[in-house]
Amino acid sequence: MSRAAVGLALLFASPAAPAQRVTAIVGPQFALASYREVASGLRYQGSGFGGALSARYRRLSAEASIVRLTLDPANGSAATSGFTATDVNAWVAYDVATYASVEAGFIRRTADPEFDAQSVGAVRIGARSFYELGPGATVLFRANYLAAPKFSGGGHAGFSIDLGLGLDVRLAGRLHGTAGYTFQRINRKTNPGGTGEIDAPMQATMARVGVGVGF
Amino acid sequence: MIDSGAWNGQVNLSWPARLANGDPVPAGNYTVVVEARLGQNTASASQPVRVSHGSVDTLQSLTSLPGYQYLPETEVPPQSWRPLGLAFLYTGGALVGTLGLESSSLGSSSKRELAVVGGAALVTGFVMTLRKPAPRPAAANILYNRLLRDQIARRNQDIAKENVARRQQVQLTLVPLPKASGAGPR
Repeated sequence: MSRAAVGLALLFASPAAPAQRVTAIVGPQFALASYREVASGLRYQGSGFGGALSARYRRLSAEASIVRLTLDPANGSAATSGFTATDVNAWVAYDVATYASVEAGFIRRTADPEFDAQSVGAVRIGARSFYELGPGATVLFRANYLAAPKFSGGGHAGFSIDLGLGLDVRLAGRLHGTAGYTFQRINRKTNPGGTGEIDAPMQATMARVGVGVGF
Repeated sequence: MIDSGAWNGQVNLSWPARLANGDPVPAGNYTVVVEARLGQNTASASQPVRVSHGSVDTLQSLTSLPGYQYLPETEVPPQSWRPLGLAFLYTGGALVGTLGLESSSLGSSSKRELAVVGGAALVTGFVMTLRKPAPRPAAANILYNRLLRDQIARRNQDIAKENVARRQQVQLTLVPLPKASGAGPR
């Protein structure tokens, strides 16, 4: 049997009973994203690749994802050049009810070139609701407050929120299909040159679709 | 040894042909041996006998109770639109949240990202709605079966006791055998 055949056999083999053990799903993802900053004219769209990892042990679960996006000025945008963004997210959650968890984590999005867009880092605090649509298919909705955000260009944000929609479907054996949507709104305010505080909001949406292997 | 003692004159001894627990001795050939001793003088006599049992009308153990039958312990829930409804609920929550939180100064955000993931959630919900639901334990039937099993076990215990009593009351027949027929159990 060839290595590829062995790999496929392992991939589609049914996992062992998940009772009281760590279960994890890891796999690559394709991402679509749009990003707006400061004013409606400064908008970008793009795509990229990344990976996601999720794990669960009893009531405790964790997720992490990293995506590298190439964002170009969207049609009609005032922006003249695009940039590359690296988006890192992590969550740790604890189930407080059958269908609900509280969670905390962080987000870090960096832009390259550095001054083409704001880099941001923040702590996530929030909750999520999840439900099993059917055998092996789970949908989740999350709402996170982005606390203590830091920006590469300075400033502060009194209101920052992140909404998410997630989907995990066991396709066959250990093979899962994963999808995630995030919407972020950050009400950044800045005071350039001490001339007075101005609004410089940021808004980003991202969809991640991929496959994963369960362990 | 059935009996032993010091007697004078004619002695009548009886053998109940039962074991210590009250069960009748197994059917077969036995030899009754009588030994007598007077001072240094001994004498013995033996008589082979055949013990046979009459028929015992025992009761059969129960595997079921008349009029009662075991129920399936799993049941397939009826198909429902719940998965699709939940997919709509979660996707709708994300859509409403996105629309409600969009910054007015930045304008309406792109919806293609939500369309991709929300569409996948709705398709999954639709597929799960069409799928035959997985069987789930039927708690009421499991309890019913357990009670039925307990009831049958109790009835079988009663039957076993009754059968023991009937076996102990079996009619035994002892037939003397000619002495040349050989020795059996003593």
